Amino acid sequence: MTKAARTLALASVIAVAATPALAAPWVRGFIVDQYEPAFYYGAKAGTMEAGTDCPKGTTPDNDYNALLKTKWRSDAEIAKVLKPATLEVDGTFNSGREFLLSAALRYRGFRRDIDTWVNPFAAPDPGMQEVTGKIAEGFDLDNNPRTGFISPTGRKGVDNNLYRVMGCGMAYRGKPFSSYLGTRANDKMLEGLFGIVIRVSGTKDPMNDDNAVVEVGYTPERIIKDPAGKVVPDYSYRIAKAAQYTKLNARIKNGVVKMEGGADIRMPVFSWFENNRGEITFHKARLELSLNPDTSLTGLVGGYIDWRQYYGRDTFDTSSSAGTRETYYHENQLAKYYALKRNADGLPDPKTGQNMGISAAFRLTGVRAYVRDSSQAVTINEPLSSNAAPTYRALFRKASMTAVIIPDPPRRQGEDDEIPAPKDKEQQTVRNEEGKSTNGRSSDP
Amino acid sequence: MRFNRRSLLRGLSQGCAVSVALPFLDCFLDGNGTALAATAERIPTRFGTYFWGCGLTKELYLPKAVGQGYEMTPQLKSLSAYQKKINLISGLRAFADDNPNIQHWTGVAAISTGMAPSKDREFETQTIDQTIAGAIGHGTRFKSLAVACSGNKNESYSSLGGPNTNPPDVSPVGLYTRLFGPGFQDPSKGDWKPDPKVLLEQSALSVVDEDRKSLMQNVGAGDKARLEQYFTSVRELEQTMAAELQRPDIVAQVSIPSAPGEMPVNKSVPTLRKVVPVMAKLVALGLATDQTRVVNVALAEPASTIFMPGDSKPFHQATHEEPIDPALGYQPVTSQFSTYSMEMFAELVKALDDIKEGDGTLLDHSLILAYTDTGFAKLHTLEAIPMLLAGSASGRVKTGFHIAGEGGPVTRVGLTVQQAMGLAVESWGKASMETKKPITEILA
Repeated sequence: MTKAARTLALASVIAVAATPALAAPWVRGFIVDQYEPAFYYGAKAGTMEAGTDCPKGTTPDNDYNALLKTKWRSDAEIAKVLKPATLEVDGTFNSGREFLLSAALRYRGFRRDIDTWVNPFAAPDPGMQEVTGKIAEGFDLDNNPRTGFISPTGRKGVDNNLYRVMGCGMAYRGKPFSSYLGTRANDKMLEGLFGIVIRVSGTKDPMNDDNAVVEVGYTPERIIKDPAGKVVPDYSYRIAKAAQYTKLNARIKNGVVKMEGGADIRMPVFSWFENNRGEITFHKARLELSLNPDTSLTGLVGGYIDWRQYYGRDTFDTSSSAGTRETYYHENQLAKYYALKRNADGLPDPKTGQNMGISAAFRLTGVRAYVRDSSQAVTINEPLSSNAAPTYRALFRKASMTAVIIPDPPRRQGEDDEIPAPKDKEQQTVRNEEGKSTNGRSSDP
Repeated sequence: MRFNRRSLLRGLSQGCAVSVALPFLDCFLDGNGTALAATAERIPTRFGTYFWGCGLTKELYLPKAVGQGYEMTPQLKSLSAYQKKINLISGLRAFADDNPNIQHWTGVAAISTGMAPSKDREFETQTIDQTIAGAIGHGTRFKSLAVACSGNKNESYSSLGGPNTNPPDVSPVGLYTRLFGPGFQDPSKGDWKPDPKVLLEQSALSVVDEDRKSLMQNVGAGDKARLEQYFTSVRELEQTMAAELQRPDIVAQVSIPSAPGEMPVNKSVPTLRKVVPVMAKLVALGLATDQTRVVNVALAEPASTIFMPGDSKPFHQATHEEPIDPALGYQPVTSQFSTYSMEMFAELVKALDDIKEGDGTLLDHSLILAYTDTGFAKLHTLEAIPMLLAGSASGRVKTGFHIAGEGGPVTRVGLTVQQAMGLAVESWGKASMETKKPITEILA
């Protein structure tokens, strides 16, 4: 070959090598292996320590003496509740103490017959230990960098008032995915309580694509784990295009997927029992996902959530409801009501101007998976619920919207604990294409 | 006519056939007056369970070493003297499959029945002790016994399936009365003879038998199933009575103590420390005197509420409320309760090992399955549920091992136990927990 020909050949090779790869459709699928409220932890270690988020540390045990004090409840009455609610009575463990306490905690209003979990405004605000730090994860939902928190990466204007209200709580505080309920909820999710899949697709390049699509939905498949409990990558999961399915347009820049436009995103609630499962809708939602070099996914989803729905779930679901929260989790439902209302910062009611939404963000991680469509319709089972829970949630909503006290409806003993048996057990499970049920469920303790 | 200790005198009583066992005669002994001549029988192998709730603390119980000679960890320290007679099995998991993870119950049922339960506090089938009792429990006064150390009559994990739980004895006095009260004759005493009342009852049952057969032929399938279950109990009663008419062979070196005094029974740890040794000794005596060959001891319920006086929370509540100490990596108060649970198990192991029997001890001729409901109570996990086996089942089980289960199903232990007890079972468990893999490392 002549020198000129050699030079020409070399130049051609270099030119070909420098030409970018042609754009082609691409897909990335993930099974979510961790999911929880994005509550920033401002201490160095543990879950209880004082930190920049909560200078007094995590919320302590409730003082039931103080909680039960009302104008109509005498000290003798309080003692009558608390004495049998002590750990032991005459040397015998008092197994009924939690129920005795819960039954009394339910009534803390200005009159003894008012159920203050339904009518929390009938009692004064006992005060909430709120987050006072300046750092939070989330999104600038109101596009105002002057309000809100600063993100850990320095982004201003982060709106996450749910964190402000709940972030010092004993059940929620800790480093990412290490709080008490965070670890418990994720353990149950991986055990089969529910599964979330995310599929990101585009036409150009997964690192940079202006026309990407993000799909978020439930999967009926049980999440596959190895013996050590870690989710195994590369398994196949169907995405259920049921009511819980969301499809969004997004842009990807340097591997970071951002959904814009403010559509609603429907996600599972943070849950650890079958009967506190359900969905939460992020209104005017934002989504940010990182497609990591190790093929995993990390992300945030945020928006405004209905604060009354949030209170209702916390208070009236059968498992881990108000009674458990005010004993085991050191919460105060009345304080929570006032704090949620006070910190509600979005979705103003067009008639009253009252903010119906509170800003929130959830964090998640995902493991690489094949997310596929199903050739047959797939439904997701509705969560089991007691007869009483929806009733009481509706009563609370009506009471809090009108500030009119709603009297106790007739209640049978133990009604709150009733879970109706499925009429047909088969209907309550999700089926795969072979007609075999695949979904696990949990129940109250 | 040659007689041996099993020979029966037969005759008629008021028109009914009656059989009467012989009292123990010197001619039944060998020349040394010890072992049973000609019809000498082996020392029976016994089975038992010990249940405690809310698991153990991984950081404090799990040895690093696997196999024999593993290091004895802080939470198992109370069992140190018996390390060579026990096996520790770690790392096995329960599967809920299509059923919910019923908190503080799925683990219990998975280990004791091989099946994930569909209802809280009910088993889908009979528990393993009943399966084994069905094979070895006939011929004793009681097919099996259940004991609730905390005094709660609801705390029994021995079941025929569904809601049919075997009720426990809930106090030392109650257990003593059952074992050594009315109806008991000390087999080591020379004046032992069959109870005439039992003879009459037995003969009455044999009359009923003809009517029973006739009834079964004339009822529908549903009633037949109910009657079967009922008459199974009757048949067991018959067998019990037959056993009561025969003097038990006792090889163990025991004597029946006088009845314990009344004592408080509750979930306070100091109380349990007094009650459990007494209950354990009675359980051991019951096994040693062949009143039964299957026992179930429950320390407390799965969501264990044992407590220390003065503390503000019992065990279960502590598992949820106590944070993990960032320096220690575990919950210190919660882990203490787990340690107490092992100390109580050590009392049972001690009581069995204290009884000399043949060339070993009662423990050597027993197999006790100690199990719990969860691997990590704070989260109600079904992974890495710890279990222990005490005793060598009369040489059928090798001991002194730490077996790392590596994520396999908990039913491997149940399968191993049944094979060790001589049951012809090749697989056990349902769905994800069906296994054909016993723990061969410990099967002799």
